[in-house]
Amino acid sequence: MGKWISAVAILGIVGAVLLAPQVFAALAPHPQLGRVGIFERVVFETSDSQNPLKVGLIAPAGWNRLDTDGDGKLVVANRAARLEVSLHGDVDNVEALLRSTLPSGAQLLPTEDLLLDTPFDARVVEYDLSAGDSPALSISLCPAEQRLDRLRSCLLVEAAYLPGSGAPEDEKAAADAKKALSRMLASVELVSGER
Amino acid sequence: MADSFSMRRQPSWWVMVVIIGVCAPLQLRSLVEGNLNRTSAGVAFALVVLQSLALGLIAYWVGKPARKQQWQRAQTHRQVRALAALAFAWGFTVVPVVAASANAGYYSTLHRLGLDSFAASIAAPVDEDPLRLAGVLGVLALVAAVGQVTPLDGLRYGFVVGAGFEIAENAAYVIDSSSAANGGAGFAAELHLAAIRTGLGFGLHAFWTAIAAAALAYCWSRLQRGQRANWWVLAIAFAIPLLLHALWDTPALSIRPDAKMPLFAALYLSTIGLFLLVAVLAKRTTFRDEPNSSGQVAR
Repeated sequence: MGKWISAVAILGIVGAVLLAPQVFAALAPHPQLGRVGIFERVVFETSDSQNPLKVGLIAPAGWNRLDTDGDGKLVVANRAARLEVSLHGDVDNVEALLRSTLPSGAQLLPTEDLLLDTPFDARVVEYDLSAGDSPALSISLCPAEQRLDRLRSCLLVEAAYLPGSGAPEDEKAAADAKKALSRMLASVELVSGER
Repeated sequence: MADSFSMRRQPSWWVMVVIIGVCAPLQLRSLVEGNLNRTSAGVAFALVVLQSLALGLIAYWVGKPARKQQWQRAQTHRQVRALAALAFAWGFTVVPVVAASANAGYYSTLHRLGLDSFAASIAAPVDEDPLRLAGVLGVLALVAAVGQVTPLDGLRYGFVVGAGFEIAENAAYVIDSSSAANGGAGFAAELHLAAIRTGLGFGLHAFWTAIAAAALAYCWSRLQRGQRANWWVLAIAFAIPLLLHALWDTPALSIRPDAKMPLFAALYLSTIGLFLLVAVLAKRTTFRDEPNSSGQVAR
């Protein structure tokens, strides 16, 4: 009898290993697909620029993914905000890059330094063309070390907060979106392609 | 000591042989179904030979009794070789085939849950580690059929099961890299990959399995002598390698190429240290419990 126990145990282990994923799949919740995963890293690379750069960031988990990678952009949104991230190579004028996506009504606004605990020159333009209801930010992140003879690759982050209804859940979503943006900016890192 | 060793009388032998028989063709097909060309086949074959030799040497050292002349071994050299071959075949064919199927199921669900980044570190230890231990269980059942199971048996055959799996996995990586789907890596890239798979974390699956297997054999040997099994030893010795395996597969915290090196070094050194500790304990326990010339077991 004893000699059968190990044989049955082997069959049991193999069967359990094969069945467990099916059980897990049946028991796991079915969240909406197309969401950003937990600790999901997005990597952008410029290979054809004078200063090749690899930039990685952790996208905000749980946000809806609207577009990614195909055209070198990450576009995500939740109920309170929409974020668009793109990498631009061979940037000779950061100011021009920052203003390239601003609406004409915001073109005259000054840019400000953004203090981040990352090795970037970070600049920001904050504007709101709808009377304080939906602020927007345009942020540029460029490698801090600048060589005069080289162009830079820079990351452009555009954040647009959607008009809220004033409901508590909208307020909370807006606050969460601001935190998510801060966390995403803090997660940005770069690896220079130069050897 | 049994005067004949008929493995075929044991249900475990039949179960293992049948499962290996089912999985071997599937494993072969998975290895050759890609764009297997002569170059990648050559690199993979060289990798298999080299790693088999290196791991075989370690397995020999692991299983070699320090006081051979004093040890009334229940297994003959021929039996040890046959059991090691069975253990290797389990690790080389059954574990990768069954784990690949289970991994695919887990990955699909983990993707749904937004856990793609952690899929490998969750799924791989959960299915690979028990499968490897199942192979050890079968081999130890055959050892038990001819005499006393010892922790050294567990250490030896556990190492061989893990080595079989590791060699199969590394060969698959090299062959996969040459497939058209992966851009056809080319000879230099395949060689580079083979070097990485040999240099980075070499033998980890074998070490991890040996640690858990030694504990399984320890519990079994106690049961054979009518003592309490001390299953907690197995629980700890199974859980620690499982955790090390999961940590090894976690995503890097940075995109820098060397970002994970400190963690890899810490995990590898921890594994080696733990393995050596278990090897010493297994040998000590084995020889402490061996029958002396008057047939008494030392305590």
